[in-house]
Amino acid sequence: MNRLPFRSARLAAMVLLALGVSVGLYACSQDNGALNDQSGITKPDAQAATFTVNHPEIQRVMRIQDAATPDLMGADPLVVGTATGMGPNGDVVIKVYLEDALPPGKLPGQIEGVTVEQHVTGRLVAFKGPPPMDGGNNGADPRAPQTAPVKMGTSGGWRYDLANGFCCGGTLGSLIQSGGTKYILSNYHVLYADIVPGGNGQVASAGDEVIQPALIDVGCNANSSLNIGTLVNNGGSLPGANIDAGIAQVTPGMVDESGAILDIGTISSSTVAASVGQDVKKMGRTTGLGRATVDGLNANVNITYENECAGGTAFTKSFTGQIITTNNRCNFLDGGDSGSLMVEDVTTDPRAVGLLFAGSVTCNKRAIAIANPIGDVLSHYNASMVGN
Amino acid sequence: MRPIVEVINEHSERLMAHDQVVMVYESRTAEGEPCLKIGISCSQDELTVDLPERLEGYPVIVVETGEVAPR
Repeated sequence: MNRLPFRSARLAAMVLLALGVSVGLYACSQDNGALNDQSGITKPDAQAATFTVNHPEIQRVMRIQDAATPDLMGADPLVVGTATGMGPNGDVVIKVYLEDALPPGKLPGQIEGVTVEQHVTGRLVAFKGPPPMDGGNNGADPRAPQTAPVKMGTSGGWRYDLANGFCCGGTLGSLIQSGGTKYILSNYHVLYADIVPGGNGQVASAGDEVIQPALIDVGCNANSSLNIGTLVNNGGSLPGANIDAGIAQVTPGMVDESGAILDIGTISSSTVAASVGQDVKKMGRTTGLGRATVDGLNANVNITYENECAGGTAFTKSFTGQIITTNNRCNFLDGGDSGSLMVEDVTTDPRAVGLLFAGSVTCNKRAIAIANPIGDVLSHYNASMVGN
Repeated sequence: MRPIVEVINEHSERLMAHDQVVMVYESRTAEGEPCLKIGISCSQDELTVDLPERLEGYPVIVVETGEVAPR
């Protein structure tokens, strides 16, 4: 997805546990079986579809887990977290996450009849971007949890976007509509890029929830985020199309359906083509409200994608016809801003120009940002912008 | 001269075949003249390929964009 700086989340995880948060301590694993309990148990498989966080059995095991957590965490410094999850046979178990394997007998095999599973996850970490910048206008924090209905231009992502010791996320850029249905527009690589079971045992699929904020902003714990939309069939554009776009159907009541973008406000339902020298702005999860100038058009560029969060190489896509903007020291686009809508820099109802998706990795004065022409994005989905 | 987009499409595959070239695009010079820009992953001092100063009449400007990736 993106290459965000990371830091240890162990302290945050321990605080959550100390507060009695039983479900949702989220660890990433190199153990394929360890993460079927994404965010605890709110991502059941088809055979366990009746198990939700409110299920009586889940509630019972969570209480046992809560009570046992201090002893489990204190058993050895290598214990980095606990969670309630699904065992391989579909039973509800207590999962204990370990920085490294423990000798046999160090932890109990069962607690009050509930199986204790050990998973070597390594240290728990969360991808974190730098504090958001607001362009000097003291704008709102795009990483903060919103109250429904949420605005666009805020942190968001696929609910299960963690693997290989990291969790990921991006920006919920804007709203589009097609056939009377409204969709959140972000990037393929923010919403749909997990295409291998790999480090988390699953792939992004239609029906999966999209959350606000993204996992990277809630310590990898999806239970601290709102489900605001769902992935749809053919919602991701890559590797086939010449755009990096992903859409999620809006969950009724959860999204501001005016299409308003945080710190930008409502936008126009019309779009405008990019032109060299055009002033543009965007609201993104990492750098907040930022401004730039279009520097180039018709760009041909190769972009390499990962196959899941912090995963291996999936494919390299050769894009044509892209928009290039200045990105001085990545102040306009940095890791986590992907999915932002780039609009013309006017105060009232700006028109959309492009969908930001890539940029320079080295943040010097010559850094650039890359956007898909918004017309190409809307044509792909036979959609229009939601706005005035 | 041919439209600049045709020039880009004609030459970008050849230019981007070099590892240090990451993109080719249409832009303007400081004087407002249409030009091609070539993004490179390294500094110009480290560039090991000879890039043209003009292509089919359009000036070429080399930009040290660095590597680009999904963000």
